Amino acid sequence: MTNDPSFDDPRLARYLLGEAPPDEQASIEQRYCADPDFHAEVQAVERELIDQYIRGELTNTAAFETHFMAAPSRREKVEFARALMRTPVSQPAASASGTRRLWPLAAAATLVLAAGSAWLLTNRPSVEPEQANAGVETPAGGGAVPVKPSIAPPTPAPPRPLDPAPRVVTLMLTPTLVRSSGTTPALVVGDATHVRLQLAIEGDTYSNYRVLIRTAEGVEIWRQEQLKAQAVNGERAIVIDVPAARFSTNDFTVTLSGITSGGGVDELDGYSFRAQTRP
Amino acid sequence: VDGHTSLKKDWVLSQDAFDALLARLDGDRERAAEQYEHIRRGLITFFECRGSPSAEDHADATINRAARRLIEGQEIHVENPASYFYGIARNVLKEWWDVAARQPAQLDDARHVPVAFDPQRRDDELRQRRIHERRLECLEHCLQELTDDHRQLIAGYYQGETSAKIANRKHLAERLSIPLNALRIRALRIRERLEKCVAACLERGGRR
Repeated sequence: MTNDPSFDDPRLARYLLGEAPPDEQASIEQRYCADPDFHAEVQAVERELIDQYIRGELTNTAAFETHFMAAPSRREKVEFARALMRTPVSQPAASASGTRRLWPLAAAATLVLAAGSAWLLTNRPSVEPEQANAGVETPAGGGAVPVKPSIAPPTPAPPRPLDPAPRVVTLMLTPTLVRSSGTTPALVVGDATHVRLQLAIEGDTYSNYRVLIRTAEGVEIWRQEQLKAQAVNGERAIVIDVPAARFSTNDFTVTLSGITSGGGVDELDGYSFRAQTRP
Repeated sequence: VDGHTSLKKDWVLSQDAFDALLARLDGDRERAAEQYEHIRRGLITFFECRGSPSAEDHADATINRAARRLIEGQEIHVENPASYFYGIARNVLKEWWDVAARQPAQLDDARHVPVAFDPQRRDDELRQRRIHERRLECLEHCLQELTDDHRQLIAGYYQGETSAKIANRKHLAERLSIPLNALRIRALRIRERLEKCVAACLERGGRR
């Protein structure tokens, strides 16, 4: 489910994911119906779950997608969260030179999204706390004021940089059956934030594809759907970005399936590789 | 239990009924209104958690039913009125399940399930993309509507991932001299306000 310590009461996440036993469910419902503070707590946990899902940090995505997202209003909250994570919150409007685009990055993000690297963008760009608040205090009754007085006229705040840049380690894989060398490709994850897998395919006859990654023991660690083939070094390939945290030192298999226009699933190719978390 | 009652809005909440409801919740009308809002929000959460496709409608149906009972002379005998609404909500849910079980599954029901790409849905995808773009614009607009300190709080609260995020929130709570839980609720309230603002903006077709 989730190991985030921000969930003080793990029962709430369990409840929201539809996994609480009936008596626990009823007890939680009765309490939040009567207690506004507890209701706020439930709502806060709900937003945390949504954020974790979008960031790929939630392990129990099946419960989230089948139960949690069943309510349209929740799907709207998920879409809102996606937007929130893609829209960096900047300095006050006055510094934005009259433009509603807070960062030029937002436009760039849209372009990158179109290129198919959506996952990376769902990770909210962040700055270190000290950096975010540097030189700014927030008095209880008003807006931000500089800590150190300055005689210079206020200048528009420069766009905050995306930090830290995602560190991506890339591995090109060919289907196990056509691999000529007979050796298993290896990947050192190291301090990468994401692993990019490029799965070579022969032909591109499906409108979209699905990728499943499992450990050698058969435990699914990643699933991605509605993927499109793209050109990589002149060849067709399916490219996915997976959070590096999903990998432990182990052997992994990748199953590529093509989705027919009728919704059928054709298993196409298998790939394998070995991951090492440390060099 | 008036099990035959339709979930549709076939009974409209009149002003008299609403007044009677508020009076039952609290003698002070302002406090009653607050309590009403809380009960409604709790009911929406309840129906969302139980998989209702229309949590707000079901919450309103629950409130309407309670108000109708009151105006028809029934009394709320429980100590906490929220429990009374919760009881009605369970009935409303059960009725909805019964009705849903009798209806054949609609193809549309599977629309949100991430399944195979269908070329015929291309238009739908384009429409969704346009909505997404509009949502981003609305969000930017709504962020500008926040006060500076709220904007800074929300920026600080959602920084980082996993352990960095947690450390950052602790730091933020310390800086604001409030407990972590109070920070969480404060961030939630700002986020809820943004959610409402974005929803309203989208309803206006992205016009601000």
